[in-house]
Amino acid sequence: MKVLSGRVWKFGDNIDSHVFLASRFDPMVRAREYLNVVPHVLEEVRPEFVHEVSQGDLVVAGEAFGSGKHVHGVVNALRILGIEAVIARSFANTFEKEAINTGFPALTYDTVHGNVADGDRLELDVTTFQARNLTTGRTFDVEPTDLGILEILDAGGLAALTLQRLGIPA
Amino acid sequence: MTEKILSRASGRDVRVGDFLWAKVHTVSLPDLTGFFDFEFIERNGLRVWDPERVLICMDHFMYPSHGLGVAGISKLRAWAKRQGIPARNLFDIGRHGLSHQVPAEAGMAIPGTVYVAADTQASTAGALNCFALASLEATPYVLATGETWLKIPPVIRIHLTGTLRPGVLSRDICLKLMDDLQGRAVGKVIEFSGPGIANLSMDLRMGVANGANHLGAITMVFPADKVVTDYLAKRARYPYEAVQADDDAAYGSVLEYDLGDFEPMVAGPDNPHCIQPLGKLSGVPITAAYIGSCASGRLDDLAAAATVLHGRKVSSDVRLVVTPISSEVMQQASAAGYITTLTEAGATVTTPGCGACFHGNTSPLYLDDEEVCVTTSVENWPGRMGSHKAHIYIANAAVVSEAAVRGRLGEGA
Repeated sequence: MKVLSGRVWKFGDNIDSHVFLASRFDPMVRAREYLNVVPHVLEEVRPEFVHEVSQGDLVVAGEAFGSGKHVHGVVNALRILGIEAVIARSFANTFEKEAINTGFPALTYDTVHGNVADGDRLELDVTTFQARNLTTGRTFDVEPTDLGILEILDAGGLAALTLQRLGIPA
Repeated sequence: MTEKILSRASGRDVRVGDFLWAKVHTVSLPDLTGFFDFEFIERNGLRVWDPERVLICMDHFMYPSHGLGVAGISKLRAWAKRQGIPARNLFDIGRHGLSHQVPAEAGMAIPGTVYVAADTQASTAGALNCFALASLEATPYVLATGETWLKIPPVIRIHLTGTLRPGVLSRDICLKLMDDLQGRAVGKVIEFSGPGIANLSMDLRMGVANGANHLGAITMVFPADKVVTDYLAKRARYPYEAVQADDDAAYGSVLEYDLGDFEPMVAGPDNPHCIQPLGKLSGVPITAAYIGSCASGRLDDLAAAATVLHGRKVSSDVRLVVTPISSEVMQQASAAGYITTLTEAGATVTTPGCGACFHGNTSPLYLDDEEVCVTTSVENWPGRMGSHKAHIYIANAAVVSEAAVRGRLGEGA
């Protein structure tokens, strides 16, 4: 992963687990029917999201993305829907860790949210910290990405990185 | 305190925002292992990095023929043997208790260190001056390497003065903080300071620290004062060096509370973030009452329940189930006469563990459709304690006991 590029789905602060997935779907999660919840992700706030999202799209959010009750399956649902990365000003710990540990980019940049509108196309180089809003043509700098997090993501997740660190062939 | 513990654990000076790999002192495992890739270690021919530092606490599946326990906890016993985890670190039936309580009792939650528990309420050990993290899906990788990654979170300091009033317990502190902070603690760590801490028992501190993740906080850290060193005097398995906050330590924000201002609070129904003082919910009828879980079920909680229930009877419309948090607490409660008081009042006292807190366990409390329950346990989302159509309120052990007698929520006499 070096350059993220895709359509922006923009959200505000405090997108919590019950915004991801209305609590009426909790029984599905409890039954571990994770694939069945995929069509309902974010439908409370953006009913068109699951129908219009396409491979490589980016979610850009504000503060405390993924807060609230930890709901298994949400990270995986975003991945299945084709979201390439979630970029937020800050994350809830459990969401961020589950995403990165499973190799799904949940990246913290303070500057992105104010530089894109919903539906814009964004290109972001995570190693040079340069971003470009392809819709407006405007370029901007972002904060340095945590190299440790990029190492986990580049390995494909914490399982793969752990094997690498212990010298075990994949 | 956060930066000091994490600098020590990573071998370099670290600051807020830094990414680091921290060396873990202790890993506490529950008997519930389905939420991580339990087979990872042996599938890859690996070993647990240090079997002495790993403990396993039988806590969910006391009745393994039902619910999720069908998967079989004997598999876990065999795994522990193969991995060389010492027998004294396997807290099996009879010595069992919650994976967020036993590490403290066993002297394995060591001040000034990074402590990891697989399950969500790991922060409980923050009461012992640990930087205590839940490893969840990362558990097998922590077990394989003895390390965990994190970004150093910003710190909120909570300064405590005064003393709690009778009938106010850790649950009320957690609920009040949730109500006041409203998400402002997400991704942060809470450090406690101030003279009020000396008036909080270990039980109360552990009950408070337990609530970090419902505040959205990564964890909570208490300083190690005399209460902590006394508690560990005959328990600590390792020498330790606690960390103290510097007088000039920088904090993202500081909140001040007089412990005497806390009052009994109730959360619910069906949402832990819907919080009100008890008085506003007075009169709500209930059919089930529960005292237990890693948020409660400690000796202080059982003592508070016994005080309320002494010489009284649980309403015929209510079943009151009490689950001590650990075998040690069961013994202490028995020696103190609390078990007799509770059972004479008409409560049933079960084997220690997580009990009715989690729907996957077997408990005489398990909620049916349309039941209304008041509980001391960690969460009240629909379905948490049984039927998705039951309604759950959270309150402290004294409030739960009073409600069990009256058949409805209300202030004590």
